[in-house]
Amino acid sequence: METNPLSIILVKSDSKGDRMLFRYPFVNDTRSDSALHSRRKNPYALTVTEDMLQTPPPQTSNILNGNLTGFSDEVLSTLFAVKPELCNEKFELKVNDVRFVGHPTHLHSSSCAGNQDNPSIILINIVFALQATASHSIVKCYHVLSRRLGISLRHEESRCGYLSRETRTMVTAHDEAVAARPLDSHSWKSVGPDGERGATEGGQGTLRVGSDLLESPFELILQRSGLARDLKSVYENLRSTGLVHLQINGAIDVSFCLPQRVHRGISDGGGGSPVEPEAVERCLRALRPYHAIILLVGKGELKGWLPPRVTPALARLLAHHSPRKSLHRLTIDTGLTIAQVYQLVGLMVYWAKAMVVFPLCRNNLYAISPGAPTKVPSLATAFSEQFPDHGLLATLSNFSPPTTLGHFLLSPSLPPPPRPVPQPSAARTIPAVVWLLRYRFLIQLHTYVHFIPPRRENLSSAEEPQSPCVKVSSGELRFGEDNEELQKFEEPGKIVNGNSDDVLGETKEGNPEEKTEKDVQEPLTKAGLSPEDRAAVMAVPAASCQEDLILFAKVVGHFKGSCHLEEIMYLEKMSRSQLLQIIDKFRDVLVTFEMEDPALAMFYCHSGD
Amino acid sequence: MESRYYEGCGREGPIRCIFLCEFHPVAGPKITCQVPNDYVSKETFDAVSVYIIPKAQLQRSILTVTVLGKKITGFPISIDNPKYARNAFYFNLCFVFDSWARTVHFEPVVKKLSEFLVTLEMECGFLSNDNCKVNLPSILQNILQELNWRKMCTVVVGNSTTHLKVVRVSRDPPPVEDHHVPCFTPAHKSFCREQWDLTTQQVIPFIDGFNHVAKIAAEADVENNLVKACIQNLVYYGVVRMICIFRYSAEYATTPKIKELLENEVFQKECLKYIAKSKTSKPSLRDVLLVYGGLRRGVTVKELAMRLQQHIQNLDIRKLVQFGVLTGILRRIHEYPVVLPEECAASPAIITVPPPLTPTTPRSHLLNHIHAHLHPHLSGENNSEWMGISKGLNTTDHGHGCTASYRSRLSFGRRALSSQERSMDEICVAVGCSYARLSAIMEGDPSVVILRK
Repeated sequence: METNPLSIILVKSDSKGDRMLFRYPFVNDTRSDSALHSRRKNPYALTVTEDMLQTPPPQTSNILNGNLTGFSDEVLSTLFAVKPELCNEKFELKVNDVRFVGHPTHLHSSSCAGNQDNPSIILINIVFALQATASHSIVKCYHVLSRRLGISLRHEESRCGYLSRETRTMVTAHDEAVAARPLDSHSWKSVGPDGERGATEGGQGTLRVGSDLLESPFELILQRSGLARDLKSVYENLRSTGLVHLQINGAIDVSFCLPQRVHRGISDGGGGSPVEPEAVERCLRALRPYHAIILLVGKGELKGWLPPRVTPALARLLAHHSPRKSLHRLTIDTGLTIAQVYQLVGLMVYWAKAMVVFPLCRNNLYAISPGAPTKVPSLATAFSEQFPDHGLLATLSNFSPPTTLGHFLLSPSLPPPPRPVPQPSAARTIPAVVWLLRYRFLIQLHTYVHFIPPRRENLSSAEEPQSPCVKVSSGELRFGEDNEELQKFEEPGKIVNGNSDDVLGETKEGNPEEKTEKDVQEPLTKAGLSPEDRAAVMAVPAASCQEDLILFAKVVGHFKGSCHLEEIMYLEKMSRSQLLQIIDKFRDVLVTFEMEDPALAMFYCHSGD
Repeated sequence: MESRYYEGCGREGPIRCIFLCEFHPVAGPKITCQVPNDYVSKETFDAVSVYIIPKAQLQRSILTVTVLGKKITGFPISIDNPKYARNAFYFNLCFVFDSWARTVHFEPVVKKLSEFLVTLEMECGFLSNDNCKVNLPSILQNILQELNWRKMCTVVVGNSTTHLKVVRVSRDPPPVEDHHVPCFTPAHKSFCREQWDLTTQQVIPFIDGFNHVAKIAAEADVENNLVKACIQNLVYYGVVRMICIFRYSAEYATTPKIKELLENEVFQKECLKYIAKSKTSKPSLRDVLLVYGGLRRGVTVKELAMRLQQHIQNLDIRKLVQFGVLTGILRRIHEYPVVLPEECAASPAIITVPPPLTPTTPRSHLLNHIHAHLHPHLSGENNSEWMGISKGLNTTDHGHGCTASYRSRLSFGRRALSSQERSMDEICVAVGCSYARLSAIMEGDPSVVILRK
């Protein structure tokens, strides 16, 4: 996976020169260059003498089984102990298919401790090796982490000489390891890239690091140095979860979240495409008071997560939160301001502790999400454990075709009809739906409305009696809904076949009311509709009711296909039934779409195609 | 620098500068030739020289360093020969870009050019001899201009010639499956048919946006895997896009991309043109949007077409769906049959489940068997591979004569269900039976549910 680091490397530079202090992982680099060269791809290939005289074939990949390979410690230290000009800036280097990113941190020269026996360190660089294909946003996040670590180390160094101490431990361990090495392998440093030595040692390869785990300097360093253990845990956490919590020298908190990694793997075990931080930001920008949150982790897990300063507010929020409560409601219950709630929610979303949903209510329409992880057996087991006697897939199949929550709670039986299974209500309750939402099995569908009156070119100026035409138009322009009252318009619609468009248009121009009651259209004019659009609206039978017309004029500005019903209800402070009525009455000039909310799409990033 | 050019914007940028760096036996690394002059300052170069002339271990690796607002790509070379001052000649020919630019497609060019210089150096000491090198600035200048303007360049030095071309690197195309439908994109007009290889030429006439791969293979009389390879190649060049099989019984759903259709007039015109039945009468935008709005989960195309009969007279609904899927404003809702584990485990009685209501003809008998074998725990058959599309199923019914192909078909169906990730389309194409028949079987089986997602 391209979000995973290949390696973490700590390099320092001081007056004695540069040195690679620690790298993790430090597995034995078994691929010896000589073995690589001598092994021909095809056993029947001719060995051309000219080829042998040439320089050895270049190494084109530095990744072996997900680990960094082909770099000796010395090479790494010269690469990353950068010139002073490059300090305190992003450093990025790509070698073949590996990308190194770091933030060389220049230490203040007035470092206090250990000036006599330990020359003061000039710079340190914590470098992450990534796959070259890692996207730029991933690289950027790793740079931020490297900078954070660098700055906190710099602070600890100037406070109490922490870094000098750790460095000394590591250097000593390196020296001891070299001293403890048996004489014959002492020469491991002199083994060049052509690896003659490595070949003679019988396939062991060039001795780079830790030929024997007990003797490996890095093993010793891990035992002795807290910093090394910290770096190891950084590496391991990044690979497993994408979350890093550290206390450097027990004093400075370093928290870091790799959003590309952490949002993945909630439902699919880490497959799928990474979530870009921009998507998270987009989602948070779209946050509204009518949204609600679903926690993705246990409340207990959240306890030690935030610094103590914020904890009381978070605790209050957690105490009151519910997937059915909107954020607005939460502000009232908790006494926090909406800005505070937004901030907490923003944090929780970024750190993948919570997801944003529309509050659960009976009208919510849910469908199976395109990326529903139906192939993950562990989730099915987890579901059955939580809701005994209920199969995940069986419950899920209630939502295909899409079902409203109210309907789901009422539905009499599970889908396989021939076998009546006893129905304890456990799986029919809200927790089951919350569970399904949390693991991204379900996605909510919203209704979007777009105002598009019949086109002008279809309108002609001939006169027609009004009433039948109106019936025609409502009969033939219906769409989508299986509404019973629509059925009765069906017959008149069939009477006028084919050229009904013309008939429809005629009404509009010739509408007698239009000219007599100019001020009836007043609200439409205010809503910014063009004369043609106004004419089209006035041709709708419901337009004769002034009240409806005013309401329609109020909301028509939102009918651009970008606001869903809930948003319009919130913006215009309308009830759902009111809005639905208006949409139904004016359906001749509207088109509705049913789809997911793009603002919440980040939670379903692995869906789509 | 404009705001749209930021690191990670994914845009390609021009080559800003080309320079040749050599390791001077006394002075160390230095730039010996640079066009335009002084683009890379002395200070910048000193800061990065360790990445330009690196340690021996990193010779002949493509190194790209991004610092100080510049991106420098090089391919360091050393030529060992006792005639040189340090028994080796080190040099690196580097391209310099803006730090925001995407440069991966220049890497092969840098490498090829470096290797060309190696040849020149070995043949006539082109780089180490100062007399020869006087031409270098004009050569580099030429390369810089040609590559930026024409994306290709021919370099002639004495008797040697090399050709450089910047080739855009695209992602590897996803694998092509039997049930995918290739569909031409507008880009295909820029290719003429003779450009393609013979097999592709044989395949192309059958690509009409509705035939799936297995059918194309059968109709073009080309081996299935060859067809897949050809089509994958076409996908790589952006000539075709893969969509799903169109069925009137399929469901589609609009995606948030529909917003673009609502707002963008050019897009609307393109859409109307694409889906019009005849050139003379174009459908109205409202009708088109009505159809798109009507396509949602739970509604099949057939139902919608019947309901909106009067609105779809001027438009081709198949083309409308095709346009929607190609542009991403529609998404196909796939049906995934899954076996309910609890149902399966609960009832060994499945064997006695009454067969589907159709009378027992040899053919339905056969299908009953598919149905029976869909349950992974019931069948003892080994998983023999399903060999190719069977057209025979519809024409030849030999009862359950347990021929090899019949057995393998069954086992495929079984695996298809137990792995839980195959859509109905895929199973239909693989088992070679119609969607209606397969879904009838599925519906008659209490332990199978169909998830639409």
